[in-house]
Amino acid sequence: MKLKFNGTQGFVLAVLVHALVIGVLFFSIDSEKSIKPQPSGAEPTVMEAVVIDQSEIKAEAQKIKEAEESKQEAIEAENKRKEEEKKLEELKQQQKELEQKQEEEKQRKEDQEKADKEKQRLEDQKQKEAEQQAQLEAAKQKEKEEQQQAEEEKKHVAEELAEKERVQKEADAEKKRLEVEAQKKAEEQQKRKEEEARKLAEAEEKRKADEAQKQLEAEMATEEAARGKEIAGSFYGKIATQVERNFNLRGFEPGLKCILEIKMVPGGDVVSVKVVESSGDARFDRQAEIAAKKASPLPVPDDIKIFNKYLRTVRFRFNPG
Amino acid sequence: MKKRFYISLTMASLFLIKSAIAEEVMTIEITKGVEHAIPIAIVPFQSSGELSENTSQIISDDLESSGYFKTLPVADMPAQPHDLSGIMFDDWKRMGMDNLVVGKVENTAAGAHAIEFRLADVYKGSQLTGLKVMAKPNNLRFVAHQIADVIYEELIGEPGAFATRIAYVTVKKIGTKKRYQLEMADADGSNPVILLESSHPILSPVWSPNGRQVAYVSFEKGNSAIYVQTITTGRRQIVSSGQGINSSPAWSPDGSKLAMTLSKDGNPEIYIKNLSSNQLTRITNNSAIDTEASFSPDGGSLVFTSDRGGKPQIYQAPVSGGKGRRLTVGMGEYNAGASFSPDGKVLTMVHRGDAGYQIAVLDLDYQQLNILTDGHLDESPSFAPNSKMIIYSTIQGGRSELAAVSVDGKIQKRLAVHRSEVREPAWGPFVK
Repeated sequence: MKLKFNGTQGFVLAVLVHALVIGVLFFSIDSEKSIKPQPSGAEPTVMEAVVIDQSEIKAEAQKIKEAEESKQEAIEAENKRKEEEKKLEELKQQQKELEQKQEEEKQRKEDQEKADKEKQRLEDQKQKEAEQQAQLEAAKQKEKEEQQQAEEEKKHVAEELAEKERVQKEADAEKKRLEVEAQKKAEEQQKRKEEEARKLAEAEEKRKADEAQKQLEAEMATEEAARGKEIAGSFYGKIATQVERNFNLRGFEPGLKCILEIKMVPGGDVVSVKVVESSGDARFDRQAEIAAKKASPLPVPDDIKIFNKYLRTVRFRFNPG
Repeated sequence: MKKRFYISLTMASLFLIKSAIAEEVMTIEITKGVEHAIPIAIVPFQSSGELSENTSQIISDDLESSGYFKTLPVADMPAQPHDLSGIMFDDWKRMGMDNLVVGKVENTAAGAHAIEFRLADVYKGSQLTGLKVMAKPNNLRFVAHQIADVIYEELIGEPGAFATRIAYVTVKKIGTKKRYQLEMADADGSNPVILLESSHPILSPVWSPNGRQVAYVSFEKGNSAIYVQTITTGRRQIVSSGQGINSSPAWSPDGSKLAMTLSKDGNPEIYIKNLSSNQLTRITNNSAIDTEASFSPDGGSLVFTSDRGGKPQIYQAPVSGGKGRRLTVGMGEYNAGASFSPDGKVLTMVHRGDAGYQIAVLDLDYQQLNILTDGHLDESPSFAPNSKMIIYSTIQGGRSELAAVSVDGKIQKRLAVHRSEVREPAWGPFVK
């Protein structure tokens, strides 16, 4: 609280202060007689008492003298005092109030001081604490810094490590990637190879199948031809037998041979006989011709295709040995 | 011959080989055949008048008797054409005929016969051969044989021997006496002609190569003597009548010499006598019996019978002389009376086997003896001039008669039966 001083107020204030001082004096005696601990609202500290010095007591004595002088004035002013008593009462009241106020103020001040002190202390403490704190902080900071540094270093190392690791990783990854790629490539190649092989195999298989088919067809054709030939062949045997049954060798010496070409019509009738290679003995050739003609009709297959292909025209080699 | 009957096991494979080579025209192998008599029909010849001989029947009989032909009986003939234009060949094919002979006999103003014949190929419908032959009534039969020979040769490829003659000896018993006759006949035994009659044995007639003479052994003078008789004139000539044996005359192929067996020197030996110079050459000289000589067709050597080895066997020696070499080795204990086939390929002889004396042929190339007959006393084999048949004597019903066998043994036939005993046959040469 800050007090503002002007004319009247100043004076009033001065009076009040005096009164207050007297009062304080009285009170002081009183207080010496019956000291009653007053609640101060704040615990007085030992240290405060010690600190009050003699001057202040002298001042106090001065003040009491002045108060005694004033006591005259007070009797004189008994009436006045009565009046003033009232007034005083009032003042007292006021004083009381003031005192209260002062007390309050004092208290407040004390409190303030205390508070200030406390505050100071607190501040100091705070300061200290702050310092400590700061120190701590600094230490902390330092530590922090150090830690940070360490961390940074660590981080750096870690980073380096990480970098390294990263690089390694990257390298690894690259390697891996390359490997994977290579693997993939290899796999792809393998796959491609396999695919190619598969395709090749398929193509081969197809080729084989085609070939087999072709062969089958060829075989079938061959078989057909062979069948035809076989059928024809079976008739050749029959024909030969029939011709041989009609081939009269009576009167011939061994060693003669000739070839005839004969033409047949379906049903086996021999319609033409031609000597294509003579034995040199007209009789032998003739006997062969007779055999071919006499054997007619020759046994031939009903299948006209086979007949046309294999039997319409045939040759007989007469070679009885 | 047997070879052609071997079934060729390679026949099937040959088809395959052939089919691979020539797809379009297959060649079928005919590796064997049959040996059937050749079917032929001799249609009775048309004749303008009565003939002394049934020529077409003689031809048919000749061909049939050869064993090579199967003739169609007249009764089975679908028609009786006389010339080519009249032949319906299919009709004859249906009868299974390969060959057909048609012809006609015309009487000429001079009393002769003009025989015209054609041999036709039924399957070709064409003529194989055709001839016109003149004949006198007395040789109409022989002309028929000649026609048979033509047909035979055309179809068999070798000369026929129908128009040839045989000589043989007949023996007739008249009371207690025997009457011997040297006869000559056609090859089929017909037309016998007596060349000599005797109350003494006549043996071993042989034809001269030209067929004009016959040499034989006669005992008419008590001792054996070798005679040569000219057929047409009947003129006889004693060739050898020395002491002892005079036997087994054999003509040299050129007819200039006669081989014979003589024992004038004590032991039967073989000599060759030059008929124009009468020079005698001794061929054999040993203590054994050497006899029954026969000239080789080239005239360079003789085959004869000798028991110099202990048993009668066949030996061969050059006409210039020498010991001779035995031909019948390992062929039994008795082989005798050998003579060459005219083609020189084989010897025919009498072989004694388990069943007795039989006619055999020795193949000189294969050194193989084939027994052809199955009698127990078959003797005196003599080759036909075509080397296809062998005439011989055989005992039939206790009596000797003539038979013929083909050189392969397939054909056996008896000759015209005589009332008397017939033996010592000799087949004459081709009649020129």
